[in-house]
Amino acid sequence: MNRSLFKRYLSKIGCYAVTVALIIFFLFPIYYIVTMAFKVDVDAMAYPPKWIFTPTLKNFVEIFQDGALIKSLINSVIVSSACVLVGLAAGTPAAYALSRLKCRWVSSVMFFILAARLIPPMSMLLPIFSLFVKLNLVDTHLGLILLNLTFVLPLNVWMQKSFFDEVPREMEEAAEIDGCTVIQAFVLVVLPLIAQALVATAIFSWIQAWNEYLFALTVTRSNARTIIVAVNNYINFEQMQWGKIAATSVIISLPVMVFSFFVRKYLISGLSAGGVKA
Amino acid sequence: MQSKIAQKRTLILMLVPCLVILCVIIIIPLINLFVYSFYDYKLSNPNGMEFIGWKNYSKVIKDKEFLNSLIVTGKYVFGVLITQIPMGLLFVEVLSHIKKGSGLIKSLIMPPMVVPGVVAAVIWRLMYHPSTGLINYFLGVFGIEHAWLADPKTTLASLIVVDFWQNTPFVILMMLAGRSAISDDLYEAGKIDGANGWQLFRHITLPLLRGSLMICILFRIIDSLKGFAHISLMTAGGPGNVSTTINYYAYRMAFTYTDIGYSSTLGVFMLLMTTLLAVVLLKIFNKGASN
Repeated sequence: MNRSLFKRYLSKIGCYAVTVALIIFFLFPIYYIVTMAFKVDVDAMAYPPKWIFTPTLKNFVEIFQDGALIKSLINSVIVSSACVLVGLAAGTPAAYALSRLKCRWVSSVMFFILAARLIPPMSMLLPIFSLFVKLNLVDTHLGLILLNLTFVLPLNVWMQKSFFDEVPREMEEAAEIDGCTVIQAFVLVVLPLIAQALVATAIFSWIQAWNEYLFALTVTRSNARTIIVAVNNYINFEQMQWGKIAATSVIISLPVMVFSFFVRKYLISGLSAGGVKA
Repeated sequence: MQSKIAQKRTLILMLVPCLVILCVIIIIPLINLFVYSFYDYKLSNPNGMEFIGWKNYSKVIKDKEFLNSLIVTGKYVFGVLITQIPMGLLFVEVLSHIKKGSGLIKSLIMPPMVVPGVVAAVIWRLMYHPSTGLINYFLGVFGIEHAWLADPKTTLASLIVVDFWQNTPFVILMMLAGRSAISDDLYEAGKIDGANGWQLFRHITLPLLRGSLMICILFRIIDSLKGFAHISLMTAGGPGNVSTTINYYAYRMAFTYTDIGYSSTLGVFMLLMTTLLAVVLLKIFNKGASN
């Protein structure tokens, strides 16, 4: 048999083996926490681990009987959705303007917005927190929304500017010759062209605001607490309520997983515009 | 048709709301950060703020805990880069040989990077559990049993593994995007000239992937400097202070000791550090790109 053919065959098998190992490494921990959410406490802490068990919904029922968790779930939806709305309302026109203006200062503005992403969140949180104490914004939705906008808004501008840059200028020029104003051309001609990309940006903003932990942990108490922080309710030193922790983790991750699957095509541009985690 | 000047005016007006919001939520706090760093300002102190000049800064420079947090941060960032970048490159090389199902593979390695950091921390805390955790269960085959997070010798390495799990998919997907932009013709030409796999990688893939590689390095550095959820939920900076990064140290100063003045000074240091790093890295990248 041809030796080089054999070698190629071998390397192909090697590639597949590495890929499968990689996928198992990345997916197994998620599988593990999901099974944990469906185990009764005895099974969850069984050692050696129980791979086959009778699934139960007990953990989910218990966490949803807890009014505080439902409240924090609603808070998370409110805060993330508000961030998306403000992000789009303020970010989209700005991104379009930055894409179309031919001025020397445009690149400085873009750099300022990029720099906003590089600022450590802690450096912004400290002064904002003491301002919030003075203004009574601690533990309010508005406070958390403002904090989250520090990364949602720059993300919006960066992602959308790249989309607008791809729309050929001739489209608007034709509309303007037909008597459209800039605003009309923007709303009627350009926006429909990038509708899909706008949805992707919205979903990205939503995920980022939903996943945010540091700000939510520090500026919310009981009233505006988000579900990301609610996991802490089941973590204490005497006893970890693993079943409930796992069930809450599944509830937290579910929307993020579903959404990110829909925008996987835009994942790279979204991630490079916004980074992964706050 | 509107005049050019009217058009320009409209465009500038469209920019205004966004810039106003950013100024309010970013510029004003940053100015405050610098101001607070010159004050003795504790939320617990009823007398309020007292101007103390550079005292907070001289305190930071003498602070052993601060020095420790710098070293911890350095080790952490180094650990993140030294594992994620080479492994990312290796996986990209492997994945680029698989033509069928590459879309599926990408979807399957994506989940860790979209899962909230909190959930990643919970999962791994469970896996590292000294008595019932899966890691000790699997390693038990080799007779290894270890309290991974509780033993100061392995704490940081264990955190770096979690970071690896959560963020390597980002590195892989970024580099795959860069890799797919490289034309197959180049590799064909290389093969005809008799280059082996390593030579193809060294002289075609690596130089042409440079852009994506640099972006990955920049983002991984910046993002691991601000990492919070993993440390907060898995070790809380401990045991002792072996996993107290500068970010976590500033957090503890502000929210455990409510010392806003001193933590603001730490915040200023972090801001300067990040800016300096970003500027230096971008300089290096641009220099490399023009060569």
